[in-house]
Order: sequence, then C-alpha cells, then structure tokens
Amino acid sequence: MNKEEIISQNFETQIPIKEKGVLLWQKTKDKVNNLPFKDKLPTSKNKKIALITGIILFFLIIILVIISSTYRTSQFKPLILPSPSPSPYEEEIKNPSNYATDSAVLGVEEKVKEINQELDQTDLKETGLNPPILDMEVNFEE
Amino acid sequence: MKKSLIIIFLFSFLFLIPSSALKAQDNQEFNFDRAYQDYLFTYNQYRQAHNEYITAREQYLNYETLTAKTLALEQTLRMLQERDNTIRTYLTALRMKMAETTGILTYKQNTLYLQLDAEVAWYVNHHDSLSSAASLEDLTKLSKETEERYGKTQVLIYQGLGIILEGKENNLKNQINDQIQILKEKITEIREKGDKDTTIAERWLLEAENKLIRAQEKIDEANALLNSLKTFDQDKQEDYNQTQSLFQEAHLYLKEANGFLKELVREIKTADLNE
Repeated sequence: MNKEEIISQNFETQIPIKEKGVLLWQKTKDKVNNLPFKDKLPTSKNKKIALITGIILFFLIIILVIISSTYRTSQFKPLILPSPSPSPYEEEIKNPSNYATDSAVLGVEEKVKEINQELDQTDLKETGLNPPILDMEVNFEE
Repeated sequence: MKKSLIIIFLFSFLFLIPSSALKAQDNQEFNFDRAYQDYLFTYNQYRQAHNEYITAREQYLNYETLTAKTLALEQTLRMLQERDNTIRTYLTALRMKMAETTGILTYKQNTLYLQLDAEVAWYVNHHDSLSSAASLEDLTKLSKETEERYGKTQVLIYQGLGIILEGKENNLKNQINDQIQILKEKITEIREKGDKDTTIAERWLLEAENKLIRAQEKIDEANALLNSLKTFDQDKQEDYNQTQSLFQEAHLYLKEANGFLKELVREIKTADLNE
C-alpha cells in the first residue's frame, strides 16, 4: 500500500464532529427510551413540583440568612463612649489675698456650692402630686 | 416528751412570727412615702370601680331590668366610696408632704392643716353616709354633694401645692441670705482693716441682694394668685400652672443670686492688683 492510499483510508473512517454529536444524542435518547424505570423519570407535573419546592427552599435559605445576620448584629454591642460632661474645673486664683484661707470665706464657698446643687435638684413641678382625675358627673339619664 | 417539746416549739414559732411581723408593720413610721403609696393604691381601686360602674350603668340604661338596676346600685356605691377614699388619701399625702417640706411659714402651715383636717373629716363622714343609700336616686344626690364640695377641696389642694413650692423657694432663699449676711460682715471687717479694696465685692453683694428681692417679688405674686382662687372658679388648674411659672422665675433669680455669691467669694480671695 502506497502512502496516498493510506491517507485516503484514514479519511474514510473518520466521522465529522457535527455528525458525531448528533449520533451521541441519538444513542443516549435510545438508551433512555429503553430504560426499565423510564416511567419514574420526571414528567412535566413532577418538574413543576420540583420547581416550587426549589423556590420555597431558596426563600427559606434567604430568610435563614437574614435571621442569622440580624441576630449577629443584635449581639454586636457597639462601644459606648462616655458622653462628655463639663469638667468641674475652676480657674485657679493666681494672686491670693490674705482672705484666701479665711475659714469664714471658705465656709461660705462650700455652702454656696451646696446651695447650687440644691438649686439644680429642686423639683418645682411635683407632677406626682397632681390632683387625681375624678368623674363627678354621676347620673342615670341618657 | 421530746416530741411534745418539738411540737410546742414549732407551734410557738408559727404564732410568734406573724405577730412580730404585724407589730413591726404597726411601728412603721407613717410618713409621706407611705401616705403616697396609700393614695396610689386607693386611686387604682377607684379607677377599677369606675370602669365597673360605667359598664353597669350602660347595662342598666340599655336593659332596665331589676338585675341590671341592682348591679348598677352596687357598682355606683362602690365607685362613690372609692372616690371619697381617693380624695381623703390624696389630702393626707399632701398634708404629709407639707409636713416634710422645710421653709413653709408656720402660720400658713397650721392654717392649711386645720382646713385639710376638716376636709378629710367631711369625706370620711360622706363615705359613711353612702352605705345608707337605698336607691340610685339617693346615690346621685350623695354624689352631687361631693361634686359641690370638691370645688372647695380643689382650692385647698392648689394652695397646699403652692405652699410646698413656696417652702422650697423660701428654704433656698434663706440659705442664700444667710451667706449674704456672713459675707457682709466679712466685707465690713476687710474695709475697716483696709486690707483690700472692697468696692467690687460690695457691688456683687448688692447685686445678689437685688436678685433675692426680685425672687421674693415673684413668690409674692404667686401667693397672691393662689389666695385669689375661688371655689367656683373653672380655671383653677390654669391659675395653678401660672403660679408654678412664677415660682420657676423666682428660682432663676435665686440661681443668679447664688452665682453672684460665688463671684463675690472669688473677689475676696483674690488680692488687689497693686498689692
């Protein structure tokens, strides 16, 4: 056999890729049709049920993810920093007089601070002692 | 023998504990907190009784049966009794609050005590007379008595509340005034010694005294408004709110006066610039 004949023989046995695919599809189709449990394979009705179940499962997963994420965020406690409050800083007296350490003056200074506190804490509303609301109109006429 | 001893011991233990607990309860001091708790409890009882009265009244008006009438009579009686009790316990709480507030002028306190006691006695008598009512008409008539009396009671209530606020302000004003007097003496001492220029200190003192005068003016204004309250006034609550605002204005003046005292102390503690 010469070289040309061998080449031509090889070309004859090769099947084109397109035809190969069609053949493969046909073969599997035949196989499926000949299967013994062919009836158990998904029909259009079964497909619908599977689709609905799939959608339900999908939404369930989403709900679970949302719940877990919110639970995590609620567990997360942000760092609460103390709110700034005015410092009780008082300007220091640079040139004190002879009376800077006088007991009477210091006593008044202390008392003035106490009165200031009392002034801030005084309740001038006394809401707890508001008179009771009573129904005075008792009658049996419509 | 042992068994009988144990039984006697257990029995005495069971009987002794409650009696000692009751004694402790009796000995508990009757103060504002306790009186206030009594009032809150009674007020709650009244609200419950009032709801039941409303239901019974509706039923009676709708069906007009004998059963509905009997129920309406029972519920109205209970509601009216609780209403009297609520006013009585409220007045007692108010009296206790007055007793525990410092700064109230004695003559004012005593006058109001007498009036409050007379008022409490009226509600106690009225409460007792309610049980003799035999019909819904009797109860309506007895309720009308409370309605008429309550106008006078309200005047006392607002005056009492006003006296409490006045007492608080008086107390603070007196404390500030005491400090002003101490500083006045100190400034005189400094001026006589010639240690320090007292011009600025005296100015602060004058300012503080002026603020106290302004505070007193507001207190007087509030008192005048409280004294003008009349039994048949429809806007007693509004007038009382106005007195509250006046006391708040007085309070601001007191704060300013105290602030001036702070500055005054600082001025005394600081040496003159040329020293």
